[in-house]
Amino acid sequence: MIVHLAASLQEPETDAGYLRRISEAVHEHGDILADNWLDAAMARKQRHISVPDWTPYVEANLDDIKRSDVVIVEITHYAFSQGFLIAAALRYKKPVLAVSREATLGHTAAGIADSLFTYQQYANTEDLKTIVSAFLTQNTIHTKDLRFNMFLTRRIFQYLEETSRQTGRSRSETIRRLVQRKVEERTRG
Amino acid sequence: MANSTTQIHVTGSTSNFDQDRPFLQVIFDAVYANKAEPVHDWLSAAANRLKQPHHENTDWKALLDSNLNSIKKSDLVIVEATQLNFGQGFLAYTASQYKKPTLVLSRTPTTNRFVSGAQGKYITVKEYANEDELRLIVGKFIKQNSIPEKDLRFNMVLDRPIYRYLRDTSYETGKNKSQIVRELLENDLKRRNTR
Repeated sequence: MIVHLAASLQEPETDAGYLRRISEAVHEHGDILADNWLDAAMARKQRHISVPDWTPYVEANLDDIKRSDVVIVEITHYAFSQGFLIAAALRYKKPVLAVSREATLGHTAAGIADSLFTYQQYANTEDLKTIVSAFLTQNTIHTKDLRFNMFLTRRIFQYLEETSRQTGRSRSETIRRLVQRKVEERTRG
Repeated sequence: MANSTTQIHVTGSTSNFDQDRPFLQVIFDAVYANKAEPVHDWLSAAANRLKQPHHENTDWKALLDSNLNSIKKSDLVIVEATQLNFGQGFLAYTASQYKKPTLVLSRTPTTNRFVSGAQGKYITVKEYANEDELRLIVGKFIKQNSIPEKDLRFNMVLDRPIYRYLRDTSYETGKNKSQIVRELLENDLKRRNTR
């Protein structure tokens, strides 16, 4: 499973410790991060390198969200970027876990009613690991669930055969493309 | 008759309301001064809410829903984002997804920050230092993105079958012909947006 992790590094050393714990929990669960950006960002912070153009970073984040299965956002600093990326993740129908060391009860995040959105407060790294693991387990799509059998009607069989001959695509590929188009329609809707 | 005044949703943070309120007021004043209308003039309500003893018990779901509905109803969105906080990012992205031209304003420098990279087809990010600058930026944004009233008045020549269709539908539904055409176009727009 691909996981996109987003956060801000307003207190670089402290934040990085917690973010590393999230990364470890992702790897221990057998999943991968869409982008391992933390070390590069920390190096930038430590050398006080400013970023003249943030557009590629924003675009990279949005691309990572699109190709991820789930999104985890550390929102302790409750920044513009975190709200922006959570709105994007929900728009792309990704399960989102927002974790924070602060309570967000009196804030916008407390008003997000989307069933794909989960908010959890944590106190320490152990707590954080438990929360992340539980979220990943809950949202894991097992490989066995990705194997799919169905009966075709003769009409559909003929249609798939013909389309396969015409396009050179396998029957599964034709069906996947059809469903994918529906997913995109729903995402845009 | 459709409302032809440009509808603007103004949003901001109440986390530092005493400092931000004068600037939010300038934004609302600039909206009126440019012959547009705010979807919801919420400043006084927010001030009253913050005076209540247990204002932290606000129903945030209702507040967010109201913000999202206002975005849907509006033609343009203005986000006062000096606090650069979560809610402002959430609403700015959402507004851009509804294809609303969105102006994100900040007194906090935006260079070397995520928000500067959030600019795009629908999002404009501007820094301002004082009320005069703010008034100018808001006025310019409204002028650039408003559809003049004269462009909303539309004449066309119908052919006879279309005329008959509109006349009969009008008779059957009690709607006038313009309303029928507007509904047809709105349905087509919805279909295009869900494609």
